[in-house]
Amino acid sequence: MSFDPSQFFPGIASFFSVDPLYALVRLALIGVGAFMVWTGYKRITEPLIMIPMGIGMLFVNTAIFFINPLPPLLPGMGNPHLDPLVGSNYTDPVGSAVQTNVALSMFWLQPIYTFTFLNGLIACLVFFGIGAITDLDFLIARPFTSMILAAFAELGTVVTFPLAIWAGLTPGQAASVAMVGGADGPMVLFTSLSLAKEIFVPITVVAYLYLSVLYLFQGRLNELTIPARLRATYMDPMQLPKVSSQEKFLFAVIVGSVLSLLFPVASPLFAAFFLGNAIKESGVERFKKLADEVVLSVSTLFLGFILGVLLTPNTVLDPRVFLILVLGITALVLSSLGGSLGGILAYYFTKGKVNPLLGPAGVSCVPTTAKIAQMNAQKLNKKNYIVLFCMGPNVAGVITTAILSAAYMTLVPVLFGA
Amino acid sequence: MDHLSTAVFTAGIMFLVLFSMSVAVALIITVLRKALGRGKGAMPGPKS
Repeated sequence: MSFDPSQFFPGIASFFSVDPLYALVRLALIGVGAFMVWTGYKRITEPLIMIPMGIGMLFVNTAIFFINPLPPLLPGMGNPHLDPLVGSNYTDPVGSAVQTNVALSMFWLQPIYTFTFLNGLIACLVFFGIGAITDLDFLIARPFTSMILAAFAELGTVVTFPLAIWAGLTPGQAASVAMVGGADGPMVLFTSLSLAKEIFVPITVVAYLYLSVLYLFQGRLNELTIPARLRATYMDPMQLPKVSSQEKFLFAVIVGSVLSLLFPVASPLFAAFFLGNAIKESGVERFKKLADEVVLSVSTLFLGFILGVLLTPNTVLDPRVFLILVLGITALVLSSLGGSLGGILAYYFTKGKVNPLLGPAGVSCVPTTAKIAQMNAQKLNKKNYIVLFCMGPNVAGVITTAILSAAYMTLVPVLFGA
Repeated sequence: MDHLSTAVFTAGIMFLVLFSMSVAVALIITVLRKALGRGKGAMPGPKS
Protein backbone atom coordinates (compact mmCIF):
# COMPACT_ATOMS: atom_id res chain seq x y z
CA MET A 1 0.00 0.00 0.00
CA SER A 2 1.47 3.37 -0.99
CA PHE A 3 0.91 6.63 0.88
CA ASP A 4 0.45 9.78 -1.19
CA PRO A 5 0.10 12.94 0.98
CA SER A 6 -1.40 14.86 -1.95
CA GLN A 7 -4.51 12.71 -1.69
CA PHE A 8 -5.05 13.94 1.87
CA PHE A 9 -4.50 17.59 1.00
CA PRO A 10 -5.78 17.93 -2.58
CA GLY A 11 -6.30 21.70 -2.13
CA ILE A 12 -2.59 22.22 -1.52
CA ALA A 13 -1.48 19.60 -4.03
CA SER A 14 -3.52 21.28 -6.78
CA PHE A 15 -1.22 24.32 -6.58
CA PHE A 16 1.57 22.17 -8.02
CA SER A 17 -0.42 20.23 -10.58
CA VAL A 18 -1.63 23.18 -12.65
CA ASP A 19 -0.14 25.87 -14.86
CA PRO A 20 2.00 28.23 -12.65
CA LEU A 21 0.01 31.26 -13.85
CA TYR A 22 -3.24 29.61 -12.70
CA ALA A 23 -1.65 28.85 -9.30
CA LEU A 24 -0.36 32.41 -8.98
CA VAL A 25 -3.73 33.95 -9.82
CA ARG A 26 -5.35 31.61 -7.32
CA LEU A 27 -2.92 32.76 -4.62
CA ALA A 28 -3.56 36.39 -5.57
CA LEU A 29 -7.33 35.86 -5.32
CA ILE A 30 -6.92 34.37 -1.85
CA GLY A 31 -4.96 37.50 -0.90
CA VAL A 32 -7.52 39.85 -2.48
CA GLY A 33 -10.36 37.98 -0.75
CA ALA A 34 -8.68 38.38 2.63
CA PHE A 35 -8.03 42.07 1.89
CA MET A 36 -11.69 42.62 0.95
CA VAL A 37 -12.88 41.01 4.19
CA TRP A 38 -10.50 43.20 6.19
CA THR A 39 -11.43 46.47 4.41
CA GLY A 40 -15.11 45.60 4.85
CA TYR A 41 -14.60 44.85 8.53
CA LYS A 42 -12.77 48.15 8.99
CA ARG A 43 -15.55 49.96 7.08
CA ILE A 44 -13.04 51.22 4.48
CA THR A 45 -15.25 49.60 1.83
CA GLU A 46 -18.95 48.65 1.93
CA PRO A 47 -19.16 45.78 4.49
CA LEU A 48 -22.56 44.52 3.31
CA ILE A 49 -21.02 43.38 0.03
CA MET A 50 -17.30 43.18 0.72
CA ILE A 51 -17.42 40.79 3.71
CA PRO A 52 -19.55 38.06 2.04
CA MET A 53 -17.81 38.55 -1.32
CA GLY A 54 -14.34 38.37 0.25
CA ILE A 55 -15.27 35.30 2.29
CA GLY A 56 -16.67 33.65 -0.85
CA MET A 57 -13.42 34.37 -2.74
CA LEU A 58 -11.32 33.03 0.13
CA PHE A 59 -13.24 29.82 0.54
CA VAL A 60 -13.60 29.00 -3.14
CA ASN A 61 -9.95 29.62 -4.00
CA THR A 62 -8.62 27.68 -1.04
CA ALA A 63 -10.84 24.74 -2.02
CA ILE A 64 -9.88 24.25 -5.67
CA PHE A 65 -8.86 20.68 -6.43
CA PHE A 66 -9.20 18.00 -9.08
CA ILE A 67 -12.82 16.89 -9.02
CA ASN A 68 -13.98 13.63 -10.54
CA PRO A 69 -17.76 14.10 -10.30
CA LEU A 70 -20.68 11.91 -11.24
CA PRO A 71 -21.30 11.65 -14.99
CA PRO A 72 -22.35 13.53 -17.08
CA LEU A 73 -20.38 16.22 -15.19
CA LEU A 74 -16.86 16.46 -16.53
CA PRO A 75 -13.75 15.85 -14.41
CA GLY A 76 -11.29 18.73 -13.96
CA MET A 77 -10.20 21.51 -11.64
CA GLY A 78 -13.21 22.65 -9.67
CA ASN A 79 -14.53 23.43 -6.21
CA PRO A 80 -17.12 21.84 -3.92
CA HIS A 81 -19.34 24.97 -3.84
CA LEU A 82 -20.75 25.28 -7.35
CA ASP A 83 -20.03 24.82 -11.04
CA PRO A 84 -20.93 27.97 -13.02
CA LEU A 85 -20.36 26.30 -16.38
CA VAL A 86 -22.75 23.45 -15.79
CA GLY A 87 -24.98 22.83 -18.78
CA SER A 88 -23.07 25.25 -20.98
CA ASN A 89 -20.98 22.57 -22.75
CA TYR A 90 -24.09 20.85 -24.09
CA THR A 91 -25.86 22.00 -27.18
CA ASP A 92 -29.01 19.94 -26.70
CA PRO A 93 -31.39 21.06 -23.93
CA VAL A 94 -31.88 17.52 -22.57
CA GLY A 95 -28.17 16.93 -21.99
CA SER A 96 -27.87 20.34 -20.41
CA ALA A 97 -30.83 19.67 -18.11
CA VAL A 98 -29.46 16.29 -17.01
CA GLN A 99 -26.07 17.85 -16.23
CA THR A 100 -27.73 20.67 -14.29
CA ASN A 101 -29.77 18.17 -12.29
CA VAL A 102 -26.65 16.25 -11.26
CA ALA A 103 -24.91 19.49 -10.28
CA LEU A 104 -27.94 20.52 -8.21
CA SER A 105 -27.59 17.40 -6.14
CA MET A 106 -23.79 17.71 -5.82
CA PHE A 107 -22.96 21.34 -5.00
CA TRP A 108 -24.51 23.08 -2.02
CA LEU A 109 -24.68 26.55 -3.64
CA GLN A 110 -25.79 25.28 -7.06
CA PRO A 111 -29.54 25.63 -6.27
CA ILE A 112 -29.12 29.29 -5.30
CA TYR A 113 -26.99 29.98 -8.38
CA THR A 114 -29.27 28.15 -10.80
CA PHE A 115 -32.61 29.32 -9.41
CA THR A 116 -31.78 32.89 -8.41
CA PHE A 117 -28.83 34.05 -10.52
CA LEU A 118 -29.39 32.58 -13.96
CA ASN A 119 -32.95 33.94 -14.17
CA GLY A 120 -32.22 37.34 -12.58
CA LEU A 121 -34.34 36.64 -9.49
CA ILE A 122 -31.61 37.78 -7.09
CA ALA A 123 -31.45 41.19 -8.84
CA CYS A 124 -35.23 41.55 -8.51
CA LEU A 125 -35.15 40.57 -4.82
CA VAL A 126 -32.49 43.19 -4.09
CA PHE A 127 -34.52 45.71 -6.05
CA PHE A 128 -37.66 44.79 -4.11
CA GLY A 129 -35.82 45.48 -0.86
CA ILE A 130 -34.35 48.73 -2.17
CA GLY A 131 -37.85 49.84 -3.19
CA ALA A 132 -39.05 49.20 0.35
CA ILE A 133 -36.44 51.51 1.90
CA THR A 134 -36.48 54.25 -0.71
CA ASP A 135 -37.98 57.62 0.15
CA LEU A 136 -39.48 59.45 -2.80
CA ASP A 137 -40.23 62.79 -1.12
CA PHE A 138 -37.92 65.12 -3.03
CA LEU A 139 -38.34 63.22 -6.31
CA ILE A 140 -42.11 63.77 -6.15
CA ALA A 141 -41.84 67.31 -4.80
CA ARG A 142 -39.33 68.39 -7.47
CA PRO A 143 -39.69 65.83 -10.28
CA PHE A 144 -38.07 67.83 -13.11
CA THR A 145 -34.97 68.78 -11.10
CA SER A 146 -34.54 65.20 -9.87
CA MET A 147 -35.14 63.41 -13.17
CA ILE A 148 -33.03 65.76 -15.31
CA LEU A 149 -30.12 65.66 -12.85
CA ALA A 150 -30.33 61.87 -12.82
CA ALA A 151 -30.32 61.82 -16.62
CA PHE A 152 -27.10 63.90 -16.65
CA ALA A 153 -25.57 61.42 -14.20
CA GLU A 154 -26.02 58.65 -16.79
CA LEU A 155 -23.39 60.15 -19.11
CA GLY A 156 -21.04 57.18 -18.60
CA THR A 157 -23.82 54.63 -19.15
CA VAL A 158 -24.36 55.98 -22.64
CA VAL A 159 -20.88 57.13 -23.74
CA THR A 160 -19.11 53.93 -22.62
CA PHE A 161 -21.21 51.85 -25.02
CA PRO A 162 -19.49 53.00 -28.27
CA LEU A 163 -16.16 53.09 -26.41
CA ALA A 164 -16.57 49.43 -25.46
CA ILE A 165 -17.51 48.49 -29.04
CA TRP A 166 -14.41 50.35 -30.24
CA ALA A 167 -12.35 48.39 -27.68
CA GLY A 168 -13.53 45.14 -29.23
CA LEU A 169 -16.45 43.93 -27.09
CA THR A 170 -19.59 42.57 -28.71
CA PRO A 171 -22.66 44.87 -28.59
CA GLY A 172 -24.26 42.84 -25.76
CA GLN A 173 -21.05 42.87 -23.72
CA ALA A 174 -20.55 46.59 -24.43
CA ALA A 175 -24.07 47.46 -23.24
CA SER A 176 -23.61 45.36 -20.10
CA VAL A 177 -20.31 46.95 -19.14
CA ALA A 178 -21.71 50.42 -19.94
CA MET A 179 -24.40 49.77 -17.32
CA VAL A 180 -21.69 49.99 -14.65
CA GLY A 181 -22.01 53.76 -15.20
CA GLY A 182 -25.52 53.54 -13.76
CA ALA A 183 -23.92 52.44 -10.46
CA ASP A 184 -26.72 50.01 -9.78
CA GLY A 185 -25.51 46.47 -9.07
CA PRO A 186 -28.78 44.55 -9.60
CA MET A 187 -29.33 46.38 -12.89
CA VAL A 188 -25.86 45.43 -14.17
CA LEU A 189 -26.53 41.81 -13.22
CA PHE A 190 -29.95 41.81 -14.89
CA THR A 191 -28.70 43.45 -18.12
CA SER A 192 -25.61 41.27 -18.45
CA LEU A 193 -27.66 38.11 -17.84
CA SER A 194 -29.86 39.17 -20.72
CA LEU A 195 -27.23 40.47 -23.14
CA ALA A 196 -23.88 38.90 -22.23
CA LYS A 197 -24.47 35.75 -20.18
CA GLU A 198 -20.97 34.49 -21.03
CA ILE A 199 -19.28 37.27 -19.04
CA PHE A 200 -21.96 38.29 -16.53
CA VAL A 201 -19.75 37.19 -13.63
CA PRO A 202 -16.75 39.49 -14.25
CA ILE A 203 -19.00 42.42 -15.23
CA THR A 204 -21.16 42.13 -12.10
CA VAL A 205 -18.17 41.58 -9.82
CA VAL A 206 -16.40 44.62 -11.29
CA ALA A 207 -19.58 46.67 -10.84
CA TYR A 208 -19.93 45.69 -7.18
CA LEU A 209 -16.24 46.17 -6.58
CA TYR A 210 -16.36 49.74 -7.88
CA LEU A 211 -19.62 50.52 -6.07
CA SER A 212 -18.06 49.34 -2.83
CA VAL A 213 -15.14 51.71 -3.17
CA LEU A 214 -17.17 54.57 -4.65
CA TYR A 215 -16.90 56.72 -1.58
CA LEU A 216 -13.12 56.51 -1.73
CA PHE A 217 -13.00 58.57 -4.90
CA GLN A 218 -16.33 60.23 -5.76
CA GLY A 219 -16.05 62.87 -3.03
CA ARG A 220 -12.67 63.94 -4.39
CA LEU A 221 -14.08 63.98 -7.92
CA ASN A 222 -16.93 66.26 -6.77
CA GLU A 223 -14.42 68.64 -5.20
CA LEU A 224 -12.36 68.73 -8.38
CA THR A 225 -15.30 69.42 -10.69
CA ILE A 226 -17.55 71.74 -8.63
CA PRO A 227 -16.10 75.03 -7.29
CA ALA A 228 -16.19 75.40 -3.47
CA ARG A 229 -18.39 78.53 -3.73
CA LEU A 230 -21.08 76.48 -5.48
CA ARG A 231 -20.71 73.47 -3.18
CA ALA A 232 -21.36 75.76 -0.22
CA THR A 233 -24.88 76.62 -1.47
CA TYR A 234 -27.20 76.27 1.52
CA MET A 235 -30.49 74.39 1.17
CA ASP A 236 -32.94 74.65 4.03
CA PRO A 237 -34.42 71.22 4.90
CA MET A 238 -37.38 72.97 6.55
CA GLN A 239 -38.44 74.15 3.09
CA LEU A 240 -38.63 70.62 1.74
CA PRO A 241 -42.22 70.34 0.50
CA LYS A 242 -44.38 67.77 2.23
CA VAL A 243 -45.47 64.77 0.17
CA SER A 244 -48.22 62.53 1.46
CA SER A 245 -48.08 58.73 1.59
CA GLN A 246 -51.04 58.63 -0.79
CA GLU A 247 -49.07 60.56 -3.43
CA LYS A 248 -46.08 58.29 -3.03
CA PHE A 249 -48.27 55.19 -3.22
CA LEU A 250 -50.01 56.44 -6.38
CA PHE A 251 -46.63 57.35 -7.87
CA ALA A 252 -45.33 53.80 -7.32
CA VAL A 253 -48.40 52.22 -8.90
CA ILE A 254 -48.85 54.59 -11.86
CA VAL A 255 -45.23 55.34 -12.83
CA GLY A 256 -44.30 51.67 -12.37
CA SER A 257 -47.12 50.54 -14.65
CA VAL A 258 -46.31 53.13 -17.33
CA LEU A 259 -42.61 52.18 -17.35
CA SER A 260 -43.56 48.51 -17.54
CA LEU A 261 -45.82 49.25 -20.50
CA LEU A 262 -43.07 51.19 -22.28
CA PHE A 263 -40.23 48.75 -21.52
CA PRO A 264 -41.64 45.24 -21.02
CA VAL A 265 -38.16 43.61 -21.02
CA ALA A 266 -37.31 45.40 -17.77
CA SER A 267 -40.77 44.86 -16.27
CA PRO A 268 -39.45 42.40 -13.63
CA LEU A 269 -37.14 45.11 -12.27
CA PHE A 270 -39.86 47.77 -12.32
CA ALA A 271 -42.33 45.38 -10.71
CA ALA A 272 -39.90 44.44 -7.93
CA PHE A 273 -38.86 48.02 -7.17
CA PHE A 274 -42.32 49.57 -7.23
CA LEU A 275 -43.90 46.65 -5.35
CA GLY A 276 -41.39 47.29 -2.56
CA ASN A 277 -42.14 50.98 -2.69
CA ALA A 278 -45.91 50.52 -2.74
CA ILE A 279 -45.62 48.22 0.29
CA LYS A 280 -43.59 50.86 2.13
CA GLU A 281 -46.17 53.55 1.44
CA SER A 282 -49.19 51.33 2.08
CA GLY A 283 -48.17 51.03 5.72
CA VAL A 284 -48.58 47.26 5.84
CA GLU A 285 -45.95 46.77 8.53
CA ARG A 286 -45.75 43.00 8.16
CA PHE A 287 -44.78 43.20 4.45
CA LYS A 288 -42.55 46.20 5.07
CA LYS A 289 -40.51 44.32 7.65
CA LEU A 290 -40.34 41.28 5.37
CA ALA A 291 -39.01 43.34 2.44
CA ASP A 292 -36.56 45.44 4.41
CA GLU A 293 -35.29 43.15 7.16
CA VAL A 294 -35.56 39.75 5.49
CA VAL A 295 -35.60 39.90 1.68
CA LEU A 296 -33.05 42.71 1.25
CA SER A 297 -30.68 41.28 3.86
CA VAL A 298 -30.83 37.69 2.60
CA SER A 299 -30.54 38.62 -1.09
CA THR A 300 -27.65 41.06 -0.49
CA LEU A 301 -25.82 38.44 1.56
CA PHE A 302 -26.16 35.71 -1.07
CA LEU A 303 -25.48 38.11 -3.93
CA GLY A 304 -22.14 39.10 -2.41
CA PHE A 305 -21.24 35.58 -1.33
CA ILE A 306 -22.05 33.87 -4.64
CA LEU A 307 -20.26 36.58 -6.63
CA GLY A 308 -17.21 35.89 -4.46
CA VAL A 309 -17.53 32.15 -5.03
CA LEU A 310 -17.64 32.77 -8.77
CA LEU A 311 -14.30 34.60 -8.67
CA THR A 312 -11.92 31.77 -9.46
CA PRO A 313 -8.82 31.85 -11.72
CA ASN A 314 -11.03 30.62 -14.57
CA THR A 315 -13.02 33.87 -14.36
CA VAL A 316 -10.09 36.22 -13.80
CA LEU A 317 -7.86 34.72 -16.52
CA ASP A 318 -10.43 35.73 -19.14
CA PRO A 319 -8.58 38.34 -21.24
CA ARG A 320 -11.69 40.52 -21.30
CA VAL A 321 -11.52 41.13 -17.53
CA PHE A 322 -8.87 43.85 -17.82
CA LEU A 323 -10.98 45.59 -20.46
CA ILE A 324 -14.05 45.36 -18.22
CA LEU A 325 -12.09 46.87 -15.32
CA VAL A 326 -10.95 49.83 -17.45
CA LEU A 327 -14.35 50.40 -19.11
CA GLY A 328 -16.21 50.00 -15.80
CA ILE A 329 -14.28 52.74 -14.04
CA THR A 330 -14.51 54.91 -17.19
CA ALA A 331 -18.30 54.57 -17.13
CA LEU A 332 -18.53 55.39 -13.43
CA VAL A 333 -16.21 58.42 -13.62
CA LEU A 334 -18.00 59.76 -16.72
CA SER A 335 -21.37 59.43 -14.97
CA SER A 336 -20.05 61.30 -11.99
CA LEU A 337 -18.68 64.05 -14.25
CA GLY A 338 -22.03 64.20 -16.09
CA GLY A 339 -23.75 64.58 -12.73
CA SER A 340 -21.45 67.46 -11.77
CA LEU A 341 -22.15 69.16 -15.11
CA GLY A 342 -25.90 68.74 -14.59
CA GLY A 343 -25.59 70.08 -11.05
CA ILE A 344 -23.71 73.18 -12.15
CA LEU A 345 -26.25 73.84 -14.91
CA ALA A 346 -29.10 73.41 -12.39
CA TYR A 347 -27.37 75.86 -10.04
CA TYR A 348 -27.26 78.60 -12.68
CA PHE A 349 -30.65 77.72 -14.16
CA THR A 350 -32.34 78.09 -10.75
CA LYS A 351 -30.26 81.21 -9.94
CA GLY A 352 -28.35 79.53 -7.15
CA LYS A 353 -31.23 77.73 -5.44
CA VAL A 354 -29.93 74.21 -6.11
CA ASN A 355 -26.65 72.99 -4.65
CA PRO A 356 -24.72 71.47 -7.61
CA LEU A 357 -23.78 68.50 -5.43
CA LEU A 358 -27.29 67.20 -6.14
CA GLY A 359 -25.94 66.37 -9.63
CA PRO A 360 -23.37 63.68 -8.75
CA ALA A 361 -25.87 62.37 -6.18
CA GLY A 362 -27.88 61.33 -9.27
CA VAL A 363 -25.41 58.47 -9.78
CA SER A 364 -27.84 55.94 -8.44
CA CYS A 365 -25.81 54.03 -5.87
CA VAL A 366 -28.53 54.40 -3.20
CA PRO A 367 -27.76 56.03 -0.78
CA THR A 368 -23.94 56.15 -1.02
CA THR A 369 -23.67 59.00 -3.55
CA ALA A 370 -26.22 61.09 -1.62
CA LYS A 371 -24.15 60.60 1.53
CA ILE A 372 -20.97 61.56 -0.32
CA ALA A 373 -22.61 64.79 -1.54
CA GLN A 374 -23.73 65.50 2.03
CA MET A 375 -20.16 65.04 3.30
CA ASN A 376 -18.87 67.38 0.58
CA ALA A 377 -21.41 70.04 1.53
CA GLN A 378 -20.84 69.71 5.26
CA LYS A 379 -17.11 70.12 4.86
CA LEU A 380 -17.81 73.75 3.90
CA ASN A 381 -20.79 74.41 6.15
CA LYS A 382 -21.53 72.19 9.15
CA LYS A 383 -25.20 73.25 9.18
CA ASN A 384 -25.88 72.39 5.55
CA TYR A 385 -28.07 69.23 5.41
CA ILE A 386 -28.61 68.55 1.72
CA VAL A 387 -28.92 64.78 1.99
CA LEU A 388 -32.76 64.88 1.86
CA PHE A 389 -32.61 66.90 -1.36
CA CYS A 390 -29.91 64.60 -2.75
CA MET A 391 -32.22 61.61 -2.34
CA GLY A 392 -34.39 63.06 -5.17
CA PRO A 393 -31.86 62.66 -8.00
CA ASN A 394 -30.45 59.61 -6.22
CA VAL A 395 -33.75 57.72 -6.43
CA ALA A 396 -34.51 59.19 -9.86
CA GLY A 397 -31.18 57.63 -10.86
CA VAL A 398 -32.63 54.19 -10.15
CA ILE A 399 -35.44 54.97 -12.60
CA THR A 400 -33.14 56.40 -15.31
CA THR A 401 -30.79 53.42 -14.98
CA ALA A 402 -33.75 51.04 -15.34
CA ILE A 403 -34.86 53.00 -18.43
CA LEU A 404 -31.40 52.67 -19.97
CA SER A 405 -31.18 48.98 -19.07
CA ALA A 406 -34.52 48.40 -20.75
CA ALA A 407 -33.53 50.48 -23.77
CA TYR A 408 -30.29 48.51 -24.21
CA MET A 409 -32.09 45.17 -23.86
CA THR A 410 -34.61 46.28 -26.49
CA LEU A 411 -32.37 48.18 -28.92
CA VAL A 412 -29.17 46.12 -29.02
CA PRO A 413 -30.76 42.96 -30.48
CA VAL A 414 -32.77 45.08 -32.95
CA LEU A 415 -29.91 47.28 -34.19
CA PHE A 416 -27.09 44.74 -34.08
CA GLY A 417 -29.00 41.52 -34.69
CA ALA A 418 -29.62 38.89 -31.98
CA MET B 1 -22.98 50.79 -41.20
CA ASP B 2 -20.18 49.11 -39.27
CA HIS B 3 -20.53 48.25 -35.59
CA LEU B 4 -18.85 51.42 -34.33
CA SER B 5 -21.09 53.76 -36.36
CA THR B 6 -24.14 51.80 -35.22
CA ALA B 7 -22.89 52.10 -31.63
CA VAL B 8 -22.53 55.87 -31.89
CA PHE B 9 -26.00 56.04 -33.47
CA THR B 10 -27.34 53.85 -30.62
CA ALA B 11 -25.73 56.15 -28.03
CA GLY B 12 -27.52 59.09 -29.66
CA ILE B 13 -30.84 57.27 -29.46
CA MET B 14 -30.11 56.34 -25.86
CA PHE B 15 -29.63 60.00 -24.92
CA LEU B 16 -32.88 60.86 -26.65
CA VAL B 17 -34.77 58.04 -24.91
CA LEU B 18 -33.19 58.92 -21.56
CA PHE B 19 -34.07 62.61 -21.56
CA SER B 20 -37.52 62.20 -23.11
CA MET B 21 -38.44 59.45 -20.64
CA SER B 22 -37.10 61.50 -17.74
CA VAL B 23 -39.26 64.43 -18.75
CA ALA B 24 -42.22 62.07 -19.25
CA VAL B 25 -41.87 60.62 -15.73
CA ALA B 26 -41.54 64.14 -14.30
CA LEU B 27 -44.66 65.18 -16.22
CA ILE B 28 -46.64 62.20 -14.91
CA ILE B 29 -45.67 63.13 -11.35
CA THR B 30 -46.60 66.77 -11.91
CA VAL B 31 -50.00 65.88 -13.39
CA LEU B 32 -50.60 63.43 -10.57
CA ARG B 33 -49.81 66.05 -7.95
CA LYS B 34 -51.99 68.62 -9.70
CA ALA B 35 -54.85 66.10 -9.79
CA LEU B 36 -54.44 65.61 -6.06
CA GLY B 37 -54.39 69.39 -5.55
CA ARG B 38 -50.74 69.56 -4.48
CA GLY B 39 -47.54 70.76 -6.06
CA LYS B 40 -47.44 74.29 -4.71
CA GLY B 41 -44.58 73.77 -2.24
CA ALA B 42 -41.89 76.44 -2.12
CA MET B 43 -38.69 75.77 -4.01
CA PRO B 44 -36.01 75.11 -1.45
CA GLY B 45 -33.85 78.19 -1.68
CA PRO B 46 -30.60 79.55 -0.35
CA LYS B 47 -30.50 80.98 3.15
CA SER B 48 -27.85 83.22 4.63
